[in-house]
Amino acid sequence: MSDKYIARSTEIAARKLGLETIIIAAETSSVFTLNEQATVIWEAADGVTPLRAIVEGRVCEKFDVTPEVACRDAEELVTKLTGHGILLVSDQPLSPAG
Amino acid sequence: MRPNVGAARFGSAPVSPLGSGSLPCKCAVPDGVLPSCSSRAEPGRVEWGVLASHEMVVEIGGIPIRLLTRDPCFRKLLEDRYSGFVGSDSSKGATLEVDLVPAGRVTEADDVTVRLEDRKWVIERNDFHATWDPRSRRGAVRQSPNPYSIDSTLRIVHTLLLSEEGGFLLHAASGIRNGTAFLFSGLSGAGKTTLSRLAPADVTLLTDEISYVRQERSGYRAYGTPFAGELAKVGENVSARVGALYFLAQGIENRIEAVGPAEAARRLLRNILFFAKDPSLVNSLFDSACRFVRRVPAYRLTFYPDERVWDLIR
Repeated sequence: MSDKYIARSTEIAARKLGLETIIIAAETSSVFTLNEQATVIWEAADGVTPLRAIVEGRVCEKFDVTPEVACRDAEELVTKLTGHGILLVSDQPLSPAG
Repeated sequence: MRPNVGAARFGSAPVSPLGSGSLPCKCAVPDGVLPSCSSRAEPGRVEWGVLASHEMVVEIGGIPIRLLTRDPCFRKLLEDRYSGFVGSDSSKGATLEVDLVPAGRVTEADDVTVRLEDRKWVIERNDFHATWDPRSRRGAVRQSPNPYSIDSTLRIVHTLLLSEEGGFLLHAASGIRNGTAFLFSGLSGAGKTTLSRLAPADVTLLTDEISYVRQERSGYRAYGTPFAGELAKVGENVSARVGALYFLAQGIENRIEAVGPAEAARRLLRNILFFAKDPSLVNSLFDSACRFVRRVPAYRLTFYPDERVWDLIR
């Protein structure tokens, strides 16, 4: 996994409910639900912490998963969320998410 | 471990046609012709001066809306349609002025559309055109003399009013039992009317179609509405604190399962009446839904359509 930086889009609204997160993209009225694992990544998406560091430091620490599997799943998640426009991804650090 | 995202679409835009049927004014005339009434000029004569304005107050969910019309026959129709929800205090609250036109297409919009123009909401469908100013809480609607158009306008105006205070209209039947209100939510075909029809005598039915929910300091309150569904029965004009929200599904047995807050919010958003694409309104309703599921327990109610399902609702 090359270093990627992820940040939450400012065009959405998100609320943590229990261990999950619900997100709405106001422009399209689309609603997304993140499970507990995805919520950990979402909350850590500050634009300056590399995705690999998020996975190794937070995901692998909290869940029983190998770094390889976790990185692959995280990349897949980031691709999905980026496709929906609710997460920004870059090879360079991004402006810190609010 | 598998981080996952589920996607859905928020809101159910169409205003469903009333199943309750019209309550025609006794002096109504065939489609295409304005009702004859005392405020209009007799044939062959020109009536000068200001036409009389007839008003009535429709109070749903404790929110009065004054309806103004120049036509006493239409006012009579409204009194019949909203019987049980006619208020008396016209000094405060919102105002809608109704301008009647002959039956036929009023606009080209087949589906209801709601948009902001110059800080006013424009609401239209092929049978009506309405504007609503949220600051002055005044609006105007142009429509033919039928109850369906004004009903749709009222639903949307109430949605806009409720969004300012954390409430919403919900595709849900609701009823009061032992002093507590229960909401039974689902889109068309989920069983709202069936469950309402099976309600025992000690249940006060608030609606079989559109539930009216307002936020209170310590929770939420559900109100009766005149927005009837297939049961064609206007709800009782009473209210109670909301005790639980049930998402309906029909099955071979009666079963209740708890629904987590995120799932509940997602399902709730799917069933909230929602018309406008305006981002601030979307965010407002999103917040309302999230607050609601934090404070009101939500369940999935699978039921076999007989009266025993009500044994579970206490």
